[in-house]
Order: sequence, then C-alpha cells, then structure tokens
Amino acid sequence: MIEEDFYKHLEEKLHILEAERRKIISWLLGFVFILVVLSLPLLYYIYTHYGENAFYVTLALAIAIPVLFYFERRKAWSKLFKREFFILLLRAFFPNLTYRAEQYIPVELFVGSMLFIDKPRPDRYTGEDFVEGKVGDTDIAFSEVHAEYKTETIDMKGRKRTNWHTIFKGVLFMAKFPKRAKGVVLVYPDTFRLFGTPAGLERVKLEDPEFEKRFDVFSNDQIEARYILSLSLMRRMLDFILKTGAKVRFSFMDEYMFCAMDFGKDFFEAPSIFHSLYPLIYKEGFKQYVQEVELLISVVEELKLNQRIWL
Amino acid sequence: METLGILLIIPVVLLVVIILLYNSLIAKKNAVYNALSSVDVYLKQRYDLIPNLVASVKQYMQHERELLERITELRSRLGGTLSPQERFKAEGELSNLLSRLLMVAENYPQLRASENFLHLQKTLNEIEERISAARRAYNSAVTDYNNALEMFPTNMMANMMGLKKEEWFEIPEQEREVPQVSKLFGS
Repeated sequence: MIEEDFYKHLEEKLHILEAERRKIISWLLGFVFILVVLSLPLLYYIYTHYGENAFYVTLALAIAIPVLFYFERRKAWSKLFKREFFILLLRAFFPNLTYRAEQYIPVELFVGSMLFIDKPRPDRYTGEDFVEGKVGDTDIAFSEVHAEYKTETIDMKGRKRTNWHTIFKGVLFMAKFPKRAKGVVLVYPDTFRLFGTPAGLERVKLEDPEFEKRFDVFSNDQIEARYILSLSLMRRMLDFILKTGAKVRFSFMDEYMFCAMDFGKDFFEAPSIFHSLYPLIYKEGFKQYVQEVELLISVVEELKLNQRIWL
Repeated sequence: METLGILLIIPVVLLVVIILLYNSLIAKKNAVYNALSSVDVYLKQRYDLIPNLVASVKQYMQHERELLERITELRSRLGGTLSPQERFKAEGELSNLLSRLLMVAENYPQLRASENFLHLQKTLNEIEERISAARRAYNSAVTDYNNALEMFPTNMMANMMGLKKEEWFEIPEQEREVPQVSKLFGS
C-alpha cells in the first residue's frame, strides 16, 4: 500500500535528515562554546600585544568564518531535505508528478509567455522547485521563479550604483490547454490599463462585469480571445482567484496556458534547522506540504482544464 | 488682429472635431460589419456540416425523424434571404436543435460507436464554440457602436450621417444548457 510504504520511507529518510540536522546544531553550539571559552583569552592576548585594530580584525574573522560555514551547511542541509523529502512526498501523493529541487522553468519561457510584457526584460532570473507531470489528463509544469531587472544610477561621487527590482516572485505555472489559440490572449490585472495597450495587441472588452473589474484582456484577435475565454472559463478564473487570494496573470498561446501566481509566500521550504523533523511524520506535518501542492495544481481542477470539450 | 485669429481658429477646431467624430463612428460601424462577417464564416461552416451530420445519424435515429426534419427545414430557410433579426433567431434556434440532436444521440449506442459521427460531433462542437466567440465579439462591437449612437456628442454626428442602431445577436435561453451536453461526451 502506498501510504504504509510512504510512512516507512519517510521515517527512514527523516532519521537521516534529523541526524544531519543535529550534527549541524551541535557543531554550532560547539562553535559558540569555543568562541566564548577559548577565544576570549586569545583575543585578550591579541588586544594587549598587537593593539586595537588587530583585535577587531581577529574578532571579525573569528565570527565571520564559522558563521559562513554555518550558512553553507544549513543550505546544503536544506537542499538535501528538499531533494529527499519532496521526491518521496510527491511519489506517494502525486505519483504522476516529479520534483526537481534545483531546476526551474527557463527564462525563455518566462519571457515567451508574455506574462510580463508591461515590465522590462529580466536581467537576473533564478528559481527552484520544479514540478512536472500530469494532473488528470493535463500536462503541467511549474516552479518558483524570481525575475528581476536592474537600473543603474550614478551618485554624486560618480560611482555607479545598481538597483535590482523584482518583476515577479512566485509560481510560474504552465499547462496544456484544451483549445489551441491561434493568437495571443493576455489576461492582466486591471491596473495594467495605466500602461496603455501593448504594441500589436488590442484590448478585448468582455461581458462579465466582475471579470472586467479585475482583469484587462489583450489579444491580437477579438474572436480568438473570446474563443479561449468562454463565459464559463471567466467565471472559473474569478472563482480561483477569490478562493486562493493569489495575484494571478494568465496568458494563452498555441496549446498552452501560462499562469503567474503570487501567493505572497514561498512553497516547498525546508523547516527551520532549529526545529525537530519528527513532527513532520508523527504529527502529520507533511500534510501541510501536500496541501501546498494541491493548492498549486488546483488551477487545473478549478479551470476544468481536464474537461476536453466545453462551451 | 486677435479677434480675427480667434475667428479663424474656431472653424478649424470645429472641423477637426467633426472629422474625428465622423471617423470614430465609421470605425465603429466597420467593426460591427467585420465582426458580423466573422460570425458568418462560422455559421457557413456549420451550414455546410449539417447535411453530413443529418445523413450520418439518419439511419440510426428512426425515432427522431421530426427533429431531423426541423433541422433540415431550418437550414434551407437560412439558405434564403432573411432580415438580420429573423436570421439571428433562426440561427439561435438551429443551435438549440443541434445541441438537442447531440443530446439524444447519447441514447443510440451504435451512433456513439461510429467514428464518423464522433468526428462530426467534435467538429460541430468546435464550430459552435467559434460561433459563440464570434457572436460575443459581434455583440461587443454592436454595443460599442450603439453606445456611440446614443452618447453626446457622437449622437449628433450620427444623426446627421443617418446611422441606425444595429441588432444584437441574442443568446437563446436554451443554449446555456449546452455545458450539460458537453459533459455527456466530454469523457
């Protein structure tokens, strides 16, 4: 039985991860002990023999190097956790989905999806937690992504200063859409109107007043836009954003639907290193992660992408 | 000198305003006709599909002769000249009859097993969706145009141009039941 199997495997994995976690914590405590007990006489010696500057440099190094080590180890642990735990979790609860912790939807698709043509092209783009597979009959893929662009200013002393601005931080979701769009249909939040209509596209005024209040739709083909955005799909999109409270943008092209969802939080995060992992299994803490996946793939169910024919 | 300048500016401004109003009305009117011709394209596709559909179901659906006859009759009526209003009504009725036909087809297992029928059914569904999209685009263009005809100051210009309001292509009540139909053969 998959569930029993899952518990057994999870327990095994959590023992390993927990042991690793404790190692890092005891290492950290050991370091604090050493710093307090052993470095104090050393620092005192340096202070009295080599002066104040040498003292500060040594102090800074004595703190910075172990702190950096700690962060490095914590990162490695969190990576290990994600890889081991989520692969197990998805295999048990979502056997049609696969998880890759360090991959993400590539920048070409982010740009090609046209979800953010009102913003500059990204100069820096990263992501994690790539999931792909099938929900029902629908092919899907999603990951967390963070896209930023930079601006450069020159201050009074003539120094160049680079500022990074977030274009989007959240979940980029793509799914095979049951209808093939001949053109492009963009469903942006209503505020986009301030930026005018993107080149080559026209605004599509739709019948549903509530939908119109929340979204601005742009397309290169008035009829195609309505072919994609049937009255029932518009309703379902509204229901989805009301239910989840997410800030969402959609785009449709070829056979695909792209969706940028910002829930204002990170998904698939490893728990804090200072907390035991056992509640994950003995208090069913893993269910919180199952719910996260369910929330993300609910867009398929909510928009009824599995239904092959609908009007 | 100044008064003369002002006197000259007024007619120029007025002329520009008139040109803008005129052009915007013409653009809206053409948008309506463009949208209508798109509706026509899909209606024509459906019109061409009906004889095939009727022929493929006829031998199985002995008990639905009346329904099939009405569809054929309506189709031939649409082949003749009708006023836009009559036409929209007839097309709407045809939509309803076709969706009913597909619904009752569910009662005929032989039909559901026929590849030809399944193909026609899929095509018809696709066309119906396209018609629905084109009709919504048309209605949106008509609303835009009709609004211009009623709103100030375009209404004055429209009066002078002798423009008339256009008819909506209404959605017949029954057609909203179609999702239930699609559920039947969605799987």
